[in-house]
Amino acid sequence: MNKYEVLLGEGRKPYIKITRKDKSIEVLEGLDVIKFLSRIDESIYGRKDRMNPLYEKDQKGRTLIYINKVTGKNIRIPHYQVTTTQLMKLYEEYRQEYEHDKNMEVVKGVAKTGAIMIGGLALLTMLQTAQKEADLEHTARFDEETYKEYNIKQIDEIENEYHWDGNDEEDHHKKEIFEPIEPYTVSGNDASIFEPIPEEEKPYEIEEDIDEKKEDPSIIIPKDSIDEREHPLEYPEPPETPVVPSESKENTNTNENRSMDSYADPATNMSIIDVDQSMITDEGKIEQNKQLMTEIGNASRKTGISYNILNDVISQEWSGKEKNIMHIIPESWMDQVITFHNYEKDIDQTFVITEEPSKWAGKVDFTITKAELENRQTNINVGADLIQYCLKEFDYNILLGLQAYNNGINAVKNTLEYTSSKTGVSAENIINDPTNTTWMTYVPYVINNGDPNYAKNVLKRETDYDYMFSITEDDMENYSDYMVALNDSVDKVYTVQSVSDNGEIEQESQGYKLR
Amino acid sequence: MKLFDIIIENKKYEFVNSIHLNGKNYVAYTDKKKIYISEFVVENDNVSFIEIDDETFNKVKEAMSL
Repeated sequence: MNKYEVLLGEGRKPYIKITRKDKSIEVLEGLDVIKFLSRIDESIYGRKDRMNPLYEKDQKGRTLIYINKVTGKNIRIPHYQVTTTQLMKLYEEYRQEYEHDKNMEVVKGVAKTGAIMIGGLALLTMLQTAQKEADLEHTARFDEETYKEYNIKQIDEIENEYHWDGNDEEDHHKKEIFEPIEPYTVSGNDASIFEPIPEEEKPYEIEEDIDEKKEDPSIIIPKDSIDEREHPLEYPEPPETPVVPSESKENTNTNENRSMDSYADPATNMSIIDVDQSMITDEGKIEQNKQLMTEIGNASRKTGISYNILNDVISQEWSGKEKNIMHIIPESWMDQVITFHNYEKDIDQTFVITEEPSKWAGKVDFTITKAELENRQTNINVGADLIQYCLKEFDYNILLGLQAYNNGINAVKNTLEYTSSKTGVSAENIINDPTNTTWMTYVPYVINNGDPNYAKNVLKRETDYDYMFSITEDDMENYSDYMVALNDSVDKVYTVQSVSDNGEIEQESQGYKLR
Repeated sequence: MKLFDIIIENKKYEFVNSIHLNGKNYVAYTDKKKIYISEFVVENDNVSFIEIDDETFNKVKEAMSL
């Protein structure tokens, strides 16, 4: 997967570090960062609606992008998720639209600590600060003409084996363009003067797995950004004497979609197939997977569930052989009215999975039979509808919603009640705090079906699950469009060879070239 | 827009404007009765507001066109 990292911090300019598959690194700084984010933003600027988390749904003013996770740290930006530039646009819109009473008295604020500034604003401030400090134009590391040649698609071409063109010469050229530069800090009030960070003050270390860049002090990442999360999804120690509420078990067998992890390799705990991997390595499946990507994109646009999430769920659920790609268990949802929002038509729709469609005639918008679920597009659509339904039940808390997709809504609700009884934190507060994953501890003690680690297993495919909270449906909608467009633009398939240091061919796989 | 609200001691303020001036961040916010201007520093999830002197206040006020 492409890996973009942005450093935003006080006293430092933001940078984007691009790590290629060959582990070489490119670093964008200053204006390049703004431009890079803008380029991404141009294609993904989101719609303003209830599923766009840029619009705070938490009544308690909780941050959406947690400041403590961006200050002085790398932000990993999985491809085409929310960017800071979106926030900047929102901010500019806000400033243009905002009107205050011109006669209002303006006074000095008194000193206060512990105020909460919603994350977007703080992030924007950092970016704007960085933008000004950098005095952008003269710190741009290449001219506008060069930049025009370097757009998002080219970055993809560089990075992603999926559509790498295999041209080593061009590759080399870009390495030259993006030779990393020395980091610096802002000196005093003169924002245009930058001083190198003294060696002993550098709070970072070189990433260990980047062998060829170890000697380069300009390639730095914070220690705490490497596979270390503030709220890790590691499975915690179970309680010493778990008490299972008797009424909980009674309700745990509804709405479940058991994970295919039970069929996975127990040694690696990985599911049998990874859609992305098969997409680039199995020549015979190229056409099939192009179609699959289109189908996932269709479902994503319709339901607002991100392309990545659907892709991750399918990777988790699908063995690659059966027709029930989303592993929907019809019996769990049989004759239950499901309401979901169709974002393409911008209307709420209802459907039931039933073997008696006539019974539901006129009562719901459409019915789905078990046989119809074997159609792959239908299966993905219904799976996405159910995920949206589950997410809505848990106020779009993505972890709880995904867990409910696997274990059932009632089972997850029971888990929350049990967690609440053990921790003292109300179920409502757990739902409202996506960083609170204590409920995961108690899943096995309340739920006796499905995969207790389902949400974790699905999201482990993302580079950083924390930022899954920042996904909007439009990001992924556009991402889907982009991927579909990418499919349409595929011109030629190359055989890509991975060559070891001693010149031996280690692996061959397929790559695409864009037209 | 809730995205830009500021919460101080459980009281919500509306964000008016913010600027970066001479290496420091300033924000204007309102309770709908008055507009307050403070320097602010982001620390973890919280923000510390720092009272500013008269000279800075006038500069920031002018820069923000308030």
